[in-house]
Amino acid sequence: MRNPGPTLALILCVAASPLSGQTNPLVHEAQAAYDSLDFAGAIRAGQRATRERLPAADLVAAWRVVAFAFASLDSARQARDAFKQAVFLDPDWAIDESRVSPKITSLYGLALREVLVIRSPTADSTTFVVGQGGVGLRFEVTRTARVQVKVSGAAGTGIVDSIRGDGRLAFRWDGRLANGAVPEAGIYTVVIEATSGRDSYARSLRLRVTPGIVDTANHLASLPGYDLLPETVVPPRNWRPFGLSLLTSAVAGGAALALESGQLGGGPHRELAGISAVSIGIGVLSMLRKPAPVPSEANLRYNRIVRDNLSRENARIAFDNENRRRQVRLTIAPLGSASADGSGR
Amino acid sequence: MKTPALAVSMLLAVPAAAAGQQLRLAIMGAGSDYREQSASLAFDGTGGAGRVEIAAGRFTVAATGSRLSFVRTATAAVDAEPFVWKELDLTGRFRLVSIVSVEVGAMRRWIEPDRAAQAVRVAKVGLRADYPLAPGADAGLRAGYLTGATFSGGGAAKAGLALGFGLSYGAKRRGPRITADYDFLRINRETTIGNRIPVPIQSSTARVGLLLIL
Repeated sequence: MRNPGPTLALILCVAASPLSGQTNPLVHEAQAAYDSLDFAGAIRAGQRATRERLPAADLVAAWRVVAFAFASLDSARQARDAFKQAVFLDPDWAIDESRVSPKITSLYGLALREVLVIRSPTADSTTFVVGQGGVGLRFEVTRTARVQVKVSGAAGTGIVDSIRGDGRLAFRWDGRLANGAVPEAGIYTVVIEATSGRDSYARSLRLRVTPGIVDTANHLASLPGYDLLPETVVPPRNWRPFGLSLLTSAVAGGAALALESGQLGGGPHRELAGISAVSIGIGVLSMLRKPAPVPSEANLRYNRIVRDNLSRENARIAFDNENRRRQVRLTIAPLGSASADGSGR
Repeated sequence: MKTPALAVSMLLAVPAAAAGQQLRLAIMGAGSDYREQSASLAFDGTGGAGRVEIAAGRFTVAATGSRLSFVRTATAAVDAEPFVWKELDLTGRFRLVSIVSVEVGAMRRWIEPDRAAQAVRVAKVGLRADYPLAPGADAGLRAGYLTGATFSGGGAAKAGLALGFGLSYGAKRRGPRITADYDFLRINRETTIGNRIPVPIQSSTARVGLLLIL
């Protein structure tokens, strides 16, 4: 075997069967012929099947067999035409490039760029506040076209956005309809329209929209991480009480002794000595006792700042809550594609 | 005389305390050294004393009453007669700044028998400092000028001086405390008949007891 390329391509073509699980006998016959490498037979049976009134899935399968068979016979134009028919019937169908020969894949790619279809439209399941968040809408346009996305439902219609482009495109619906109206609960349809010259194509996607109220925040009793500090602190023990009591006794006692009348003779001073002893004892006891708390200026300033910030934060929360009470939260649940509609080539 | 004064004070005290003011009641044991004219008239006395104080804002009114029995000291003349002293001291105080107050008042001392010692009536004006030592412990120092003295035995006094200090100690700012205070009083009495002969009066009184702050 000098050149194994054609043989390998042939094996790849057959290994990647273009359909599976079809019930129509003609489609089965075409598939069987294709599997037996009877490409002419596969084309004949497939074309007969495409002229029948078959279900869409069988028609798509028949066109794929025809396209694969033409591609295997190197009939590029017929293969592209057959692929285009299959794409029109099932825009989301894609070739598994890892299992199909590059020759067939490239023909499929050429066919795809010659038709205008919208493929794989999807929407996120999400919850957002109208005007602040949004739901992502993604799809693929096979050819450069002007694309417009609209949303319609019970509460009205709104244009989401429009753009000229191709390939993977993404839009975001912020939940508003025309004139800023907010949707009511119900099923809404996202219509994606692509127009290129005389060709146009449209697909739709259904969404279940559930409006709800936006949660409000509670006012704060304290700032997280910023606890208030004690406004008084207990200073360390010191000698002051003892010193004061000693000084008091000394001053009063000294003055009394100094003022005594010499004419009256010196007394025993029992009273002065006794009270001075009691006084000094009280001073010692007071010195050993835990001192009185004193105001802490630093803590007071800190608490004032924390309270000011708490007030500001609560004012901001109140302002936000006022706004939130006017807002609507939407819950979006995609329900799948509704239909596809195209015209032109 | 003392009983009606105390009753009036108590009646005044109840609404004062209820309005958030402070009422202080003290009952104390007292000991005193009393001297008159010379060392031959020296007496030791013991007895009891009571005090009522009502404080409202910067104002304080205090009444102190005491009853002491005096006997002569060992150095006194043998004919010095024992006597009973009853004293009532009424004082009004006004706090000027921080811990400093000005006080005015009057003191009256009765002696039984009246020949044994001099009964006295005197007015006083002075300054007082009250300061805290610790939570539940306070100290006070006072000094006063005595004037307008009259005596049961005649004579006159141009001036007199009163000194004193006191402390109290308890578990809390309000409630029961122990209290101790000391008063020194000297009046320069002189005879007014013939030559003016100095016959001074001097007393040192210590009181220790229980104070209740409401």
